[in-house]
Amino acid sequence: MERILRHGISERIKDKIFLITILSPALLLLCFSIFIPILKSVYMSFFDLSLTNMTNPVFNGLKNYQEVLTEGAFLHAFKITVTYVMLIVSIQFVLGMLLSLLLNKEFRGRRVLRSIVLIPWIVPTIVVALLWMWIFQADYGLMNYVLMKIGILAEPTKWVADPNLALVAVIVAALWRQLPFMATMLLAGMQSIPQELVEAGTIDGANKWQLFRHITLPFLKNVIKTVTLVAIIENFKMFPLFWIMTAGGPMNKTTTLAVLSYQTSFIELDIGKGAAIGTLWLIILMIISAIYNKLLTEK
Amino acid sequence: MKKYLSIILITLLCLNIFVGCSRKEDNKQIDNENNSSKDTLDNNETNLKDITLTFASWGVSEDSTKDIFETMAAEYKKINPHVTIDYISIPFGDIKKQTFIMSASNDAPDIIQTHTAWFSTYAASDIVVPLDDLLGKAYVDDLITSLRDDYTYRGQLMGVPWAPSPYILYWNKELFEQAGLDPETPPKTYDDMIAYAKKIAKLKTDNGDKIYGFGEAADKLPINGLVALRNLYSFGGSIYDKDGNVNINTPEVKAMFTFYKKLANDDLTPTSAKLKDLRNLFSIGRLGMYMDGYYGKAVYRNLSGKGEAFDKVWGAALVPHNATGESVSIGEAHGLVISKDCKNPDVAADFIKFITDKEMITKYHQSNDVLSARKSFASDPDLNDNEIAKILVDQLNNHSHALPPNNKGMEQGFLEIAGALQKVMLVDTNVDDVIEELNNKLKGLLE
Repeated sequence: MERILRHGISERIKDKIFLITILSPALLLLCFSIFIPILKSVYMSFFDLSLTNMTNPVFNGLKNYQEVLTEGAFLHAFKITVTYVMLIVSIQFVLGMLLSLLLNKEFRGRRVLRSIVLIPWIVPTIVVALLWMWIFQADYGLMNYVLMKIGILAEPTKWVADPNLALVAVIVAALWRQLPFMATMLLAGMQSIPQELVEAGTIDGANKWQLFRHITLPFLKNVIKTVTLVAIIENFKMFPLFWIMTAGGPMNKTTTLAVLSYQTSFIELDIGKGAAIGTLWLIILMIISAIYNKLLTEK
Repeated sequence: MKKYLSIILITLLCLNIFVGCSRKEDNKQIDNENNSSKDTLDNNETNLKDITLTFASWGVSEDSTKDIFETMAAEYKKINPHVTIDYISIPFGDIKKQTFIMSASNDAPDIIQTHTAWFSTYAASDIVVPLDDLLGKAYVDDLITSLRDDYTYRGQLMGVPWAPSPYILYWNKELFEQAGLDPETPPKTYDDMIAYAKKIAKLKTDNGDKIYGFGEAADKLPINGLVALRNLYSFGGSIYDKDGNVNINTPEVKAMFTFYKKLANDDLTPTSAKLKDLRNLFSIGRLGMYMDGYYGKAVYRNLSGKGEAFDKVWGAALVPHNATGESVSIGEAHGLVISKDCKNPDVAADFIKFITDKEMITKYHQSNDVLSARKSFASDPDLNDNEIAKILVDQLNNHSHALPPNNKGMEQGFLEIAGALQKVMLVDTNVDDVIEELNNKLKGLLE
């Protein structure tokens, strides 16, 4: 107190003011670009609001949520979303780990291969969607052409038009786009593993699986936690690949929460209901992230 | 000292952001005031103030139409030097969403190009203005009745039908010949058409690729639900019963869905195709027949790689007879609406009149085969200058049914019809179940 009186403001308070000041531009930007739109969206979800008539919003309480939760489309989209996220993240993790293990080895051309592997990650998602839509086109696409040329297929397969294959086609496209990120992050983690530990393990007679199981995996735990969480969030909100490749079809077999929210807001023009789907979607994502963090956080 | 300097700099930065934002608002306010005063001046001193009309369109960026769009703007400027047409290019699939979002910010383009498949959504919204008074009775009365009705909502003209087209039959003469059919004789009935399609579907390309006999677009898009009405009407069906209630639980509707199911089961058509897929396949000699508007020719020439020489490969004819015993089609049109945000609706209406008058439509026709929606010159020789144009005009004027009256749920209804088509074409869903489900959905949407 004496110090405060003597110097006016304590050093600690000065530091706090400095901290708040230096963070304020970023916080302001976040506020305008993220928090206010989210709050606005949550606010709109309690109104009967259509893009055809934005001037007369009518407060309707929880009606939008009631409709969304009882119509069945939301649950269907949720199932599709979870299926997609589980498949893409698990396949991506396994392949990413294998690829990073390969790239972590010493061999000729390793640097070139590491650069090549990154190419899909540089390509914008929209371009990836258009590219794979063309590859999977049933009548003049590359996939059918190649598979038929090498004798794997006798007849063209309707990849994105087949209700049973459309989700698989989107997963393949997403995998191609996202695998480099997963592999690169895991590779970065692997390169921070102390080589003395690996050498000690080898001298003690550990085989490759044991080295991987008891040295590599424990050291990669934090990286794995981060990259898989990023992959879960990234794919939970994946929209362009689905919209461009399948538009949620055929027969709603690829209608995820992102697609449903978009369809409701901008095709049916029901902004209130679309906002309700978006809000529920946000809550679900937050719960999943919290549970995931909790499960993987060391006590 | 460094800390104080940082704090001052950051405070200045934050202030700058706020000042920037508020300055933009101030500018907006000044602009609005200017516009208001401009309006007043325009009323008193027309032609003295510069006016810019914004026109949202997909045609302005498409290779086949961008030149004529530029011509329209330039020609209008010649006679109205104070008016500039500022095109806003938005792709066909995005224009409705984008313009509604722009309108939600009170920033909709003055004129918006629209399509029959989604016009009902504009008509029932508060983002467009009625046009009867702006265009005048003489102009409105001159519109072809069925097209005028398609652009009317609750007794008011809400859009101008522009560049209308019926769906007619296109056939590939080379594939007809290869299938042992007379290349100069198109099918006269649906039964003939299916029989021909089966023969064509047995062919393969030189590379061994599949060739389809007859294509129908059935991807889940509103336009494909609209297109299905062509088949529905040819089977004598309708969405509404004679009392005006939604009822598709009829033998005619069942016949239409069965027709689509057979096309898919017999592998005569690509399933989940968009119209552009059919145009592509037709251009590369992998589709024997399909139905389309006037739009295809430029695409065929371009994609076939043969240019005008490809015109000899295909023919066009009236839609074959079906259950009604006569050729039945539907008309559709690219429409023009004036938004509520338009500051100079009278000038916008004048521009619409200009681009739909005989001189400009004739130029448009010469470059893209479009027809006119104006009775006074729709059948003029200038617009009937080739065989295809004659067939299009005949189909539109004499063998096209009116669409159902505009309704705020109509676009969603078209989408549901397209979704129902997918159910019968992609999986072995029972037609009766599909009709029952669709009937309930349409009742909810349209009644």
